Amino acid sequence: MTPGLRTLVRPLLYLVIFNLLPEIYLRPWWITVAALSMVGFRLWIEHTGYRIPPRWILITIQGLLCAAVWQQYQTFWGDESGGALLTILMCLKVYELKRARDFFITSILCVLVLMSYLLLDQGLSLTFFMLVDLVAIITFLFALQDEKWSWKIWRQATKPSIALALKSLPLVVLMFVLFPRFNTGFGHSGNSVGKTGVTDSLRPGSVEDLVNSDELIFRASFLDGNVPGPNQLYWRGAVLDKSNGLDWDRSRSAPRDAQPAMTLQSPDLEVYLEPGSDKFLFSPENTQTLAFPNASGLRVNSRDGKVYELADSLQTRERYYIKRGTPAPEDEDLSRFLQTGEKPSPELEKFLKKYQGKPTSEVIQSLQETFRGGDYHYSLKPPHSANLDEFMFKNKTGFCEHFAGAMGTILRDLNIPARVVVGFQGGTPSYFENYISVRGHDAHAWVEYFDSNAKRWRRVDPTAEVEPLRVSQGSNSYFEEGRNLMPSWMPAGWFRTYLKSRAFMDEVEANWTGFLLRFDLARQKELLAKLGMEEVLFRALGVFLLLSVGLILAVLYFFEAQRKEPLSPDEKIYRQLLNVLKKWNIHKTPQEGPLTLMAKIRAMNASLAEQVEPILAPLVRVRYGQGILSHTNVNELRKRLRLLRKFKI
Amino acid sequence: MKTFTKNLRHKMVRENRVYIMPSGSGAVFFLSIVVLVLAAATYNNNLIFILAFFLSALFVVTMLQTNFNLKSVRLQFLSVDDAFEGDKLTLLFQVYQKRFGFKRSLRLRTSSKQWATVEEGREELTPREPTKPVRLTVKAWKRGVHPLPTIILETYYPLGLFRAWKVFRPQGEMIVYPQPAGRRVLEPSNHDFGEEELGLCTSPEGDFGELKPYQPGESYHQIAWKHYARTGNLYSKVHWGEEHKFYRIPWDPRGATTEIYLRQMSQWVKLAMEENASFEMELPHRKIEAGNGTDQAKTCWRELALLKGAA
Repeated sequence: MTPGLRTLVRPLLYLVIFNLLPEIYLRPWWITVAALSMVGFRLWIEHTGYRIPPRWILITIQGLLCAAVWQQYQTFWGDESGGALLTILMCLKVYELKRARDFFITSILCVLVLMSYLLLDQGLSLTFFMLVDLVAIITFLFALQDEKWSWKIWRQATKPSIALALKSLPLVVLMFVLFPRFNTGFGHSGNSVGKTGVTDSLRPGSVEDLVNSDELIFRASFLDGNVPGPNQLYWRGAVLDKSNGLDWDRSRSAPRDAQPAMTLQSPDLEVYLEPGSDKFLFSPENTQTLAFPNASGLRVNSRDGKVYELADSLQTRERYYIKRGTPAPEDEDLSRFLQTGEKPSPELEKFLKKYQGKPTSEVIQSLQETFRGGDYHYSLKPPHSANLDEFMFKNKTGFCEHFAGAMGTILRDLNIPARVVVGFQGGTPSYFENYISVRGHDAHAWVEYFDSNAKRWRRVDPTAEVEPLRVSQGSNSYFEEGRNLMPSWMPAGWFRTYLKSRAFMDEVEANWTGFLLRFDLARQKELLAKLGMEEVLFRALGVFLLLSVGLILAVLYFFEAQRKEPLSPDEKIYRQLLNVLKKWNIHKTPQEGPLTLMAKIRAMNASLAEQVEPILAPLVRVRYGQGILSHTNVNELRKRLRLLRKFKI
Repeated sequence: MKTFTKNLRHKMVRENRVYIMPSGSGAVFFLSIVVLVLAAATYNNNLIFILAFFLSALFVVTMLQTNFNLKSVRLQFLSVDDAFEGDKLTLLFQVYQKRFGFKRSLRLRTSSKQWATVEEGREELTPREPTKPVRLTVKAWKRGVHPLPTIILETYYPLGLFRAWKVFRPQGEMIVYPQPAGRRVLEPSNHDFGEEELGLCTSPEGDFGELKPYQPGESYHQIAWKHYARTGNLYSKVHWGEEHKFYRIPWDPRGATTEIYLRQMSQWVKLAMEENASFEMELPHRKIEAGNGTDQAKTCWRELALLKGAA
């Protein structure tokens, strides 16, 4: 390693460590610890001068870490596992820094690791981190070219990188707007867990598992500006119609009425759904139609119970529109909504007797009163209930899935068609209340029963009777284990402030997401359609992009060519003098210094030399550090130069 | 075929024209952009698209900057020192710019494999210092008089993604002397120095020297024999410095190849110069008259370099 490259080792290690910061919250803790340890050890070697471990040790470490990645993700082919492998590669590469090429490869690995972060998170903070990281990488590449680094001038070193980054911006904007979006068709890897947690079945604990998840599921904007209260915000995902006590499932049925993608006229809602391996498209009650924008290429299937889903899991963030309306009376076969898995137990039959024979509305009301006043408790960690009887009559403590599953089965035992709906309830209004954010902990289960008079399905939420706060205030109120609210030591004001600031940051982030990340293929086509480029999209785009890149290059070329570096006054006067001397055919050759030039003029013409010397002598003194040129001197020299122009030999 | 390609290259590659191509690092950079674009397209991730476009824009802008870094930069050949075979040969150039700007990381090297660059020249030009001398050291690989090699002025500034270069074909010659080597001993010979009066005598070059009384133990070669023959007194010749020797370097390969013998002659010249002796040299086609000092040595070495013989 040359001495110059040696000065670059520590800056590179610090750059790599900086690059590892997002690992802390994006990857499993052991990967972060392993990565930081490897780079930290290398830094220690650099400080102490110890030998780098032999190759066989490094290969062994690499093998062990790859095995650990496999153990974590069960695959090497995927965004998360691939990102973890790239991180390991980057941290091991720092043990192989011998030539300039190794330093360069490490920088490129930093960029690829950055890419792996962006696959997992596209938030504002990571965007800002990306910008800082890129400037740092470019600064390092500048230093790599010179093969030297000095901490004393690190600030100076960043100036050309920032200048270069700014010069690149017009091209970035142009390419972002015009580069045709396409799909490679590789899609997502398998085996990743569905983000929403909503499934085709309900088991005690299945929704409860999501309580601690702060994962963003979707954001919904009410385009008419009328945001319903939390009590009315029920987002339907899956409708379960097969009952077996507390366990519910969805019967297999073919999707019907596969709808082609279309853009709705005057939609009511715009929903941005985060990618996951689920197919569910969440929609509120009274949804009439759900559709994706024209160019998305996604087809929507409707399922029983007026829920919607995709044929394949959603791989990328997508937006869709919803139009609501008054539901038409339904006339379907309700026999399967009366099915129960087993006959009621004697205890349950005794319980059911007081509700039998009453109209549906009375039954519903009575059951709600029972849940409200029957000493039932809502808990995030309920005791295990083996069956419906144990829950209803012994434990009386459960989560929403318990109450929904129990009520659904009870209604069916009372010959009222009922079904359980799994989805989300509530959501957090944004800071400026432009949209609702629904997160994992908003997962919920409730019941729908068939009103034979109105011939429509109606919602009833037993959890709202047991724990009204959960429904009216949303799941944010539930901060830790236990039933209610935040820890007793935390002042209520702090928690509200925390929620408010989080909502504010979420809104900023959502606007960022909406403004920039919303620019998908559909939006691009809309924009180009406005420019009249709808038909021959890709070809025209390609040509237009090339022409635009060429134009920007030409502009940059022009400015670079015209760019004059700032000159000191003495330099300016010196050059003006040289220009004037050309009048007498006196040309300074590159290897001639000012004194040689003066001697040449003297030899040529003494009178001319007398005119030139008073101008040249002070310039020589300044150039060689023997004097300074004050403002008065500059004016004096300019005056002499003007006289020289008029001089005639 | 070789001549054809050489001529073709000579015609197509013109002096003072900037040529630019991605470097190895640039190719890797470009590949990483492709990876980013594919990842962005696969996951429909706009931030990765932005990252990819940023790197693409950087790629394009650095191409411009690399080109401009070399534009209006010229090279002028100043001088070259003579050198022995196998030693380093230093060429001195003047690098200057016609338009005054900042030109960074300018590198100078030869394009010839035979004249391998030992030490690259690296310089920067600023508006304050628009011209600078720059040294380029090559390995002198073969005895003889050689035309100056083609010089490449190149730069990888700012990020090493592109290499821009200019070709210069300076006019001039480099002289490579035979490497002094050989074990044959050359005895100094007696030289007719001319009249040797006491306190007044001449060397072969005509310089005046002195006589001093002979002291037992002094070399017999220093005795002024002619003076002894006339006067019967033994005096030693004293010129400037030490004992003044005279060498007659003959052309007498004695079966050795020409190159080996040339190196031997070079060795004798070197020794004679170091001893501050006078020496003359015989060559097949001419004779170099007696002289001494560095100039005489250089004259001899040049003749040895110019001598045509087996390589």
